[in-house]
Amino acid sequence: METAVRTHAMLCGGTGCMASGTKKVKASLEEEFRKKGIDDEAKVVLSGCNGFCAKGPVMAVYPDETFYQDIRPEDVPGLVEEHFLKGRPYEKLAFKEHDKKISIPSIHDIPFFKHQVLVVLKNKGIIDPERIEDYITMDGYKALSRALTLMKPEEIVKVVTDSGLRGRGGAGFPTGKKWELGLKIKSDEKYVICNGDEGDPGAFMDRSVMESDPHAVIEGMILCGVATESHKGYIYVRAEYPLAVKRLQIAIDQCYKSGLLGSNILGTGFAFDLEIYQGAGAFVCGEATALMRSIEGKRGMPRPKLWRSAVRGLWDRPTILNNVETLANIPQIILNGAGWYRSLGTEESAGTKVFALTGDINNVGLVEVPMDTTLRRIIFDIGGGITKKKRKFKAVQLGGPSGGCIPGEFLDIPVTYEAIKQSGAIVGSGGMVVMDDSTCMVNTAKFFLDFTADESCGKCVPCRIGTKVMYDLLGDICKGRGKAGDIEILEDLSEDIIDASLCGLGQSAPNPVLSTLKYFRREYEMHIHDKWCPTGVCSDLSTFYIDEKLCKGCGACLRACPTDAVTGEKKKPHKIDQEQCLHCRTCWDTCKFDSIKILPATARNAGHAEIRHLAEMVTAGSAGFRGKESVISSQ
Amino acid sequence: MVKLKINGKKISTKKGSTILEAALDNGINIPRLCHDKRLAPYGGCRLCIVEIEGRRKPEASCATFATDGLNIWTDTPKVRKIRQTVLELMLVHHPLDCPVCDKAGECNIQDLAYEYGNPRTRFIAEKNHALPDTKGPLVELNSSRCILCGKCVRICAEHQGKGALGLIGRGFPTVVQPAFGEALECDYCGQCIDVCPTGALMSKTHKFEARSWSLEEKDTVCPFCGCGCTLTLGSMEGKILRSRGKEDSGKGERRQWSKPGEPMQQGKVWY
Ligand SMILES: Cc1cc2nc3c(=O)[nH]c(=O)nc-3n(C[C@H](O)[C@H](O)[C@H](O)COP(=O)(O)O)c2cc1C
Ligand code: SF4
Ligand code: SF4
Ligand code: SF4
Ligand code: SF4
Ligand code: SF4
Ligand code: FES
Ligand code: FES
Repeated sequence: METAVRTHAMLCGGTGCMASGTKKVKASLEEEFRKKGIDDEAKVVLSGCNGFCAKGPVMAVYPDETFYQDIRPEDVPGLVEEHFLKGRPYEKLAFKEHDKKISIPSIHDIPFFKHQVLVVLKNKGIIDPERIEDYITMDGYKALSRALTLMKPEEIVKVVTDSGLRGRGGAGFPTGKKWELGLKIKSDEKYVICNGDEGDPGAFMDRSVMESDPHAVIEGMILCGVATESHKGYIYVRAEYPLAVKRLQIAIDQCYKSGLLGSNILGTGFAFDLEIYQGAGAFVCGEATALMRSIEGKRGMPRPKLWRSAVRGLWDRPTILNNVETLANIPQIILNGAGWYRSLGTEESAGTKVFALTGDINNVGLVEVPMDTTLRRIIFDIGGGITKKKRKFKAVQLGGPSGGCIPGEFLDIPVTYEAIKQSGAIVGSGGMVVMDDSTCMVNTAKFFLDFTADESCGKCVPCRIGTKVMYDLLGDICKGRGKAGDIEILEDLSEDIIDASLCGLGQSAPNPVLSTLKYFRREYEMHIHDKWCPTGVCSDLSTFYIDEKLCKGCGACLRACPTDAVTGEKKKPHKIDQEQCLHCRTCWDTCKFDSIKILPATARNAGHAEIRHLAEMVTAGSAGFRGKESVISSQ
Repeated sequence: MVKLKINGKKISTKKGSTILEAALDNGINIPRLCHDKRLAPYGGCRLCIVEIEGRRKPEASCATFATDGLNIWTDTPKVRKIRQTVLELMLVHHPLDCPVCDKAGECNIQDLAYEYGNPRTRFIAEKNHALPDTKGPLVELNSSRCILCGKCVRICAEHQGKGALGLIGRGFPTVVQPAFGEALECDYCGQCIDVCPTGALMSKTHKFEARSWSLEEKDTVCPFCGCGCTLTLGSMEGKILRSRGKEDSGKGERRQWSKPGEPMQQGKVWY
């Protein structure tokens, strides 16, 4: 009997932790429980993603509320002995703050979790996503039964409108407004679609929600059906998310069995059918009109918006399309009221938002915060700051390929739609990539343009050819073929691509270039005029030089260099043979004394005096293009 | 009826018309490459973009409804600049082999570039060298000249109900191709050739027969069956060298493939 179970070991069964070995850990935990004879009181449950994927496999033990990370099968005997038998936290696997020895066993004290406010992710890591009973225990389907028995569609729409919820799929369109229009258009065939395409590189918010709490998405969809008088829903999930597909399918089957889907939901006579559509995983298929064409079996290409989707969408029928996270908010808004939701976040950006925090920071993972939280709190308190000690924060990229890079001056702005937009990025779907000062911003812009050029559906000229031309131009700049006037061409072209493209992909594709040009223009200028990539990322535009005045002769770079380009005797200044150097930057990353300087490509054959001059400029932090002339010619 | 203003001129049009249709009905020309009145709005070439007062961004006139009170400008500096950029982009990789292109002289790209083109391109890029697809018996597909307006694909699917052509790939490498990249197998109605604004889809039998400007064109009724389609025959020195259908004439538009004197092809080919 389950009631006898004293302790639940909620082991993460999310995609990230599965990849780092959850299955083996589960087996050894179960075996160890059996060996110690506690298998009837301690039970291992696979939960959904806990958000702390980088430290996976992770596990939270309840009711003790203790958190363990990086669990290897060989650690399991020790863990069981200490925690489950002796009843004290197993220090070895507990969370420790970066560079600190003190372990923090309680999940509520760990900064990563402490500063989060969970609405969409409230069930993550504490329920078994494959059991409807678990969801129901956590107030699941209560909102639905209330809506079906006590509320008129108009009332549901009003609560959603009053809550201030805005679409989490990117555009931030007020959800209540969309539903209101959906309800107003009368038709006996109307569709509800959940957008789980999630094509942004590095984003996994929606995947996590679908994996860790599939019923929340389904309940949100049924509620949308009730509110807009629609009776058929599709969940569009990319086929690359097999675990999400599997769990959603299990959840849908359970709903049909329990009378939560079908022709007579909860005995009220309301009918709603739901099916999963697996998309091929193109970024553009996340765009509403392309997604609908894709479900229709056509080429996933956006179509001009002669009609709103709420009027003519899927199969030319009225269609209400929302993002996964948007829908997962709905049950709790219905249950707790619009006022409660409004109390989180700001007037214009109410509620919480889930961000996928990645990049050069300590705590990579999924975080949910109220929308008035500052970037600083997310990056430094929750994210634990920059990973490498000698590196500093440079920029944060928000909104993926449609977004932009924000520099340090903006760390104290809240993550509201308005404030982020003003800074030149967008909240988008919630991708947040933190970059330290070893990141080349031109190269970063090039990375995103490569992505959009590749993902453009090819329908319209400005996007299909414009993004390719921009990518080629950035590639030239990174290769040392940049010319005076390139920046102006990039800006001018961006303007036309934004104005002339058919869909949001093209209309936002230039943003990464425009935002980096706005805040890191000097870096572009150095690339173009000085043939100098100050971060050494663009290998054709950098020379690695050991400053003999600073080098301690520790030999670390010599050992790290993949080609024996570094030579030198112990305790004596080392030297890099420019002929042999591959410009891989390994030595620069390795040196603890900041003795290696990154100079322009031209320094490879320059005389000693010039090299010294450049190296001193780098040390003084005054290197780089200023005004019309390049530093190199003006020395 | 809907009342609106285009370039300051008051006009009225039927409800449900697009801005482009309203303009054309009132004698105002807007450049366009992917529009065809028989086909659903596509919005791909972006040349028909116009400015609408009060809207944040310019809109494609072929894919925006004309509604009451709109105040539209079709030839502002902003709009002209966008058209220039779009044409410049179209030509970055275009082979511009007009000297040996059968379309020359009646090519929409040539005409538009003449009117809007930027005489100096800002981009240096390799030309598209894709070899022509000559596998089919009658239609030659030069994808290097294709601007992906999608008209051939759509006329074949929406109008002829065949769907013999498709768009393959995505982004920049997208190409028009017969199903599975095989030889084109269809009714050989030739509609795709007629709608193609460029020299990408051309009649194989007519290749290198005559420059478009030396053909004398005459409308006639196809004698093949009782349908009575209107054909436009092009002849030079008394010899009929090609036939084509015109957007505005006749009920069906059929073409003649065989050279005069050659036998017809199995009832698929007319004349
Ligand atoms: C190129 C492109 C990709 C998009 N990808 C997604 C996506 O992966 N998931 C998503 O929910 N919305 C995506 N969107 C936004 C959708 O078009 C749509 O606005 C959104 O799903 C509406 O739901 P919401 O109002 O709940 O945000 C994308 C938009 C564009 C232009
Ligand atoms: S903007 Fe890009 S993705 Fe969107 S329709 Fe045009 S080509 Fe396709
Ligand atoms: S940049 Fe790479 S190849 Fe060159 S010296 Fe340093 S480690 Fe060696
Ligand atoms: S790692 Fe730095 S200090 Fe050590 S030998 Fe290399 S350059 Fe000198
Ligand atoms: S399609 Fe037009 S522009 Fe292109 S080569 Fe032929 S005639 Fe010239
Ligand atoms: S072949 Fe011609 S009609 Fe077809 S897409 Fe290309 S340019 Fe348009
Ligand atoms: S997959 Fe385990 S924490 Fe995300
Ligand atoms: S004619 Fe309107 S976009 Fe091509």
